[in-house]
Amino acid sequence: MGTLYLTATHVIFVENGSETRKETWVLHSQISSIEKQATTATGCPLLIRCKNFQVIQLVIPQERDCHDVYISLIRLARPVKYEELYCFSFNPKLDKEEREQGWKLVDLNEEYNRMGIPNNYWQISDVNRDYGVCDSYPTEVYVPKSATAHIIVGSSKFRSRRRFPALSYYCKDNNASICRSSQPLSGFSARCLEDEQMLQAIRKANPGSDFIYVVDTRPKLNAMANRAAGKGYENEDNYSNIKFQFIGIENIHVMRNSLQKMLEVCELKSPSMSDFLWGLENSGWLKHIKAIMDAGIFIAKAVAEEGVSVLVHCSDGWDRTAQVCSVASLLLDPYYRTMKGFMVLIEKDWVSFGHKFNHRYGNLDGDPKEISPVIDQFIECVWQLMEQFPCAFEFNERFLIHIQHHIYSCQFGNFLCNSQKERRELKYERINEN
Amino acid sequence: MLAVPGIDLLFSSVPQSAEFRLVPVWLLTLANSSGTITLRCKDLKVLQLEIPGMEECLNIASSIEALSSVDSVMMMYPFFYRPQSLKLEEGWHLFPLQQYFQQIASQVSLEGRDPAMLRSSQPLTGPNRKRCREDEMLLGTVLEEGERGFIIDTRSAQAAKQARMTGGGTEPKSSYPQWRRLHRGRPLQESFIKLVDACNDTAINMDRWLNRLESCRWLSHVKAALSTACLAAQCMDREEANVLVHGAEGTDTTLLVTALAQGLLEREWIKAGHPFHLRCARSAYSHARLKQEAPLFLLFLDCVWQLSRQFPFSLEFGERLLLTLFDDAYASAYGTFLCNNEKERCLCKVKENTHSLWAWLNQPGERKKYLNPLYLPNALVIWPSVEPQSIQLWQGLFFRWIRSSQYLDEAWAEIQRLVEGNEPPVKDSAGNRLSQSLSDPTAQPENGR
Repeated sequence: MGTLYLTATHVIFVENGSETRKETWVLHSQISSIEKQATTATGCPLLIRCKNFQVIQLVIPQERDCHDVYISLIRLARPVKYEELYCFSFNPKLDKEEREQGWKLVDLNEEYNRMGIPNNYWQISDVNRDYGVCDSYPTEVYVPKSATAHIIVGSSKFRSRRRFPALSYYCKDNNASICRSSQPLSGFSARCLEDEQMLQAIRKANPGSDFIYVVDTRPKLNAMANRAAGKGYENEDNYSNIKFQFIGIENIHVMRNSLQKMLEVCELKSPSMSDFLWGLENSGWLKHIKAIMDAGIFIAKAVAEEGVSVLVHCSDGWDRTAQVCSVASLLLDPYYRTMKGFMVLIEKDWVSFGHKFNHRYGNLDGDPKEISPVIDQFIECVWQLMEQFPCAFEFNERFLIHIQHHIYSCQFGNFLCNSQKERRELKYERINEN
Repeated sequence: MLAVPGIDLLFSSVPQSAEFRLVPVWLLTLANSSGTITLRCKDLKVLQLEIPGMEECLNIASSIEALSSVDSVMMMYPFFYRPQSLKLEEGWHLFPLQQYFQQIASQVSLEGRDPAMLRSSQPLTGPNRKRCREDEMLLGTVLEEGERGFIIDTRSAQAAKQARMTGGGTEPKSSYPQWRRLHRGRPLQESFIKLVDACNDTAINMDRWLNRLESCRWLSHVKAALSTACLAAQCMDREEANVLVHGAEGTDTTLLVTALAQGLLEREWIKAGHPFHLRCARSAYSHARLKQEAPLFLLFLDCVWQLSRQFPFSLEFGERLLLTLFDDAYASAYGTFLCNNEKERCLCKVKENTHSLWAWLNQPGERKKYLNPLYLPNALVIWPSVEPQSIQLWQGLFFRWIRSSQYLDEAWAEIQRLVEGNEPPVKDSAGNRLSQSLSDPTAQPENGR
């Protein structure tokens, strides 16, 4: 028994206990779905499912009130403009300077410097300074020394969404690197000289090896289907000195369904062990996690053990590519297993490289088919690693849960929008909390 | 060089010279001019020995066979094992039963009647519904006027009914009016074998893994055992009723439940006559499906492990003790788990001629290896979650030889260091808070803003 409050940002339920005032706060941005259930003797139940998997059931005595709450919550949970989001009103009383300092905490230039760049093999390029080449990439990208602006621009025209090969991780011990891109627009027989030169440039940036791996993280069938649409994958005959490898990870729609099924299993009332294990297997969730881990391991081994550079892509290079590059980086470099390093990793491979936070996590009301638990899967991979290597991470499970929570909460400005360009247009940096 | 002196097998020129006393079921393959002997051990280790020379190989194989299947208990290793640090009489009287019952009796008279847990075998009612006045009187004295008791029959209702045909049965309601019967519902050995098979299959992919885990049903058995024990404990704790537990023989699932519900090893399993010799004869690799073989003791240890995961502060001992007990139940240098019951142990003069495992474990140097650094004494009852999500595969046992435990061991060593370095008050407060919330299953976690 208690009182329900709806504010601009939260739903708050306060229990009527006489001694302690127990409050349950739920951010509107955390609400994934609201369901009105059949009226019972006690009242009209409303089931709220949250993006952090919390499930809350409210029983409202009057059907009319319940309907009002339902309609309000639906509107509040689906903001239309960015300005409606929590981060624009959240104000923890830091002054302007402190807030700006917060934004400077993670500096990607500093990170690439830490890796040892720029150097003889890699350089920073401002070819994308006005987002003129690729609007989902950052203004500053790192490319091989021998990749001229002409090669970069030419290659970008041959890549889906113009996402040309760019550096994600560089290993200074052996010069091997992890680069990422989107799929080439090769269809069945198209070629592009500049794109071929781009891959050669990546190879030349690692004198210790005479070939590079090109890893396509899609199932082979999907990649082949893309060829019919004028896209596809790299032909070993056309690109000199590459070894091509498929490591199949399913697409965002399969993942969305997988999560749905797994949540259904978790919501079963008193299942038997068989029901539970069967349900878990049927969802396929762990299979997908394993696929991501396998891909990360393949890339990490190529870099650390073989000293060979890897170019990774999927379709658009902003989902599976991000997952796999960040898992590989975690395996390779202990810096990313510190708290600061982990934040830097997310900032680099997810935020700056244009992972579509807005679309994937439903921050604004949008196409439900774009929603998918991509970063949740990555976070689970991190958790799996923590279980196997408990002493290897500076942070604990609580940190991971906190990050997951805030990706959906929009309490902070870090995970807004779909790309650096959109964020800058919103001028969010000047306004929001970090 | 392979030496086969007596019952131990010693290897040299193997990276860590492996001395193992857990002798096995083995498999011999011969090819060309050399042979491979594959030794599958009861502790789930698998060793492959390549021996040049067919004749040598056959000789060695037959020696191993002879030595690993001695008929007489008194030819077994414990009768020869003489560690320097122990004397023969130690450790056999560590848990005298009279003392235990005296303690309980004094507690009872001080605090009023506490609920009691009893165990037995099935009543021999048979198809003609025989009655036994003495048995009814015995059970009658346990309960006072108006009190209720629960009889937890560890067989399923069907199995219990069928038992009547062969002379056994259940307590009919009319003769035992104050007792209410509850059933629970066991090819446990098959389950164990299938699980170990699945664990050893390193080429497996995720779908098939979950499938095999589900179809071996080991975790279902763990869940069933834990929930039966919880039921018994609930009857005693929540309803303050007396509980009688029995299965068919009173030596298997019965013991599992009573031991779990109370957590007492020596008294329940060993003194009460769990037939270790029969049950733990061959372990998971045996092709001979011995009728009496069943990994019940392992199931018990698995349940204890589940408890230790759910309540990390509540057990004084750690996983290492559980693994040691598993090893020693199947093949040991100590006499503690030999034979099938007290009578047999007396006949073989076990106490006079072998060492007690408890004596070994109790030595200060050994003891600290088995302690749980997070242990905080706590008098509250613990209520585990028996939902499938809460029951996990005991990786420390089933993957023991497949995957290195190096990183987990490192983590435990670090925990030990942290605990030893801490001021006592800090450790207590964190532990108390956690124990309090765990002991009250209705406590809500805090909601974050």
